[in-house]
Amino acid sequence: MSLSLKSRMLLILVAATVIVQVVSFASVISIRARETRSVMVGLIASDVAFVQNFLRERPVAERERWLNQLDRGYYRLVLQPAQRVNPPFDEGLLRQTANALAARLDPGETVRTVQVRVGDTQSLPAIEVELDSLEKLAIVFERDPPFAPPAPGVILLYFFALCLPVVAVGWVAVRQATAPLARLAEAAGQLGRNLQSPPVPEEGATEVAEAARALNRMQAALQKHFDERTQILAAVSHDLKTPLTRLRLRAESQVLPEHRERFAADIEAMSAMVQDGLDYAQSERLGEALRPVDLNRLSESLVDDARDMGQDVSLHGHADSPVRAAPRALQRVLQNLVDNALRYAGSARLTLHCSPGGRAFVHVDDDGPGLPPDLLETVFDPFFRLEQSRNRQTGGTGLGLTIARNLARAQGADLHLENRPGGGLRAVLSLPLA
Amino acid sequence: MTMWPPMERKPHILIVDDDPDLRSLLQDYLTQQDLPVVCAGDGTQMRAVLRSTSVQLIVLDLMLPGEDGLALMRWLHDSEYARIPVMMLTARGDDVDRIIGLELGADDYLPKPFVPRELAARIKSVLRRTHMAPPDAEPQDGSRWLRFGDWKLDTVERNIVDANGTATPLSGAEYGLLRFFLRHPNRIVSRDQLLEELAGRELDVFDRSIDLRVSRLRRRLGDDAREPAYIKTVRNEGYVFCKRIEKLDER
Repeated sequence: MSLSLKSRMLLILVAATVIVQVVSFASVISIRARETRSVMVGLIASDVAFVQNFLRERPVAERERWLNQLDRGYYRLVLQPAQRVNPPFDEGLLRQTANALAARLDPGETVRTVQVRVGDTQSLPAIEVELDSLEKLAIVFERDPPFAPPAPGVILLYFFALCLPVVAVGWVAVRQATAPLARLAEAAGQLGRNLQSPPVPEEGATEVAEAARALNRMQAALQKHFDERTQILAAVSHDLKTPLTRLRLRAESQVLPEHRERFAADIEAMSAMVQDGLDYAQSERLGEALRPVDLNRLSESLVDDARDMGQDVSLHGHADSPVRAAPRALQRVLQNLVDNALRYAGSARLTLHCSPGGRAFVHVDDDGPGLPPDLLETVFDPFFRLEQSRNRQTGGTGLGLTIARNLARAQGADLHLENRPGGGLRAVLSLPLA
Repeated sequence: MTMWPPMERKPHILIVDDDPDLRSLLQDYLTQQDLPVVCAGDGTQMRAVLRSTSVQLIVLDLMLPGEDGLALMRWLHDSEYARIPVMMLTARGDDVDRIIGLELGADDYLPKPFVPRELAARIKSVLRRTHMAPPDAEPQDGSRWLRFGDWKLDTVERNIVDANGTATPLSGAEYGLLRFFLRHPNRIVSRDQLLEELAGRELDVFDRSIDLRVSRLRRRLGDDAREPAYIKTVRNEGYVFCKRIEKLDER
């Protein structure tokens, strides 16, 4: 069963309260019952002893008349012929009362516990004592003793009334305890999406603060690891750049002119790989501030440049308002998408539009073969290349889309690929408006 | 249109790099391109060369043992050699280098690994630029923001920013063209001059029409070709950039 921590703690609190209440309620009732019982038994004993004496001094004919005045409500006094034999009946409370009565009366008196039938009622428990040779007195207990526990409905209501404030107070307490935990979970989720998110505030209960500290330590360790990765890539790429420069210079002077072009192409490919590796390592961190950017002008400039190089790139649509972006990084994202379309399909079509929801969209469409659905996400993995283009001349380094997505996400944009219904691949870049 | 100083004075290109192999390769290559070269491996050698030789441009590597390129830039800036243009070379490739280098007054910046032809073209372009500058021209290098008309140019991030603060990143060629116009306002710039300026930045520019480039830059600036407010066409001569340019300390 999956319950939130809040519900669990609340449930435990309520259950504990109910159990404590049941136990204390039961013991109070039983203690009170015992005390009430002994007091009552004493009262009954002295009352009956008095009534017995009183009635003995009255003539038989007058006795019935006095009975009504002597009635006590809880037990009834009944006169019976002395010879009547009532079946004996033994019961705890009845026996206790009879014993107390016997102790009160003269030692010779007979006190018996019996069952008595009065009128047409069922047999009722009773205690009988002698009066004289003609009559005897039966004390008949008609009702339950007054110290019986309350009815179940009353008990339930009592518990319900008790639980309400417990739930209310518990809710507040549990919220207090779990709110920092919820913030911690939120912060951990944030960290999963963006490693550069600010550290979690180390506050709240000791355990929560400790967990926050642990999370912050983990974040720092991860950041350090990432920074080291970047530094290693930067160092490797730096160390490769000087030899690459030397190679280029050698190609100019020391390579036979007929080989020069292929030399240059190889050096070019190596330089691109070094640069892509460095760009990839740095792509999760923006080197520039976010600001409003004119998407129309940026796209026009990109398309103009591509056309100058004889590439089949066109621009459609219009973005009605500027987007919030990092200008250089956004330019790089679009350039990579256009390069990708050109590489696999030979053409690229950019379409700009804004949604009423406050986002701008750039579609980069091509008329190529598209992608199998299971590869639409995989192609964003670093160094992933489609099998047919594994050769470096056309395949690139397999980092273009990874860099594009990292840069897009670092500036609050997002990027995905989809197959267009009519065929061809579409890259969708969605950007927040300024 | 020979803007070179007469060869008999033999001013040299001074290359400061700690890699001896690269130094000698560069020396061979640039000498072939009619650019006489002297070399230095560190700051001490650089100062010695400056004292003994007439130098017209310094190609300075950022990463040097001992005093690095930035320290040498600062020293040059405060020395009697402050007027010698500097081209920065760096292998780090991150923008920080470019920003620091340009803010310290480097005249151009080239990341390693560069294509040799591009280095030669850029050196020629910087030389031309320094020789062409009129004596009363405002030096704009060292100022990050330039304002003209409704636009501001961020020379570090290479964005143009409109009155609402909306930025447009410029492509390399667009930036080169605009920067050239901003360095030479209110005077006629010929197509040949523009072509040579752009040749320093892009190698295959020769195939393209300069007029097309200018019309695109106008469009980027929202300038109307029939009624241009920024770049006017002078029939049979070239173009004039006709807005007042202001240096901004803050954005």
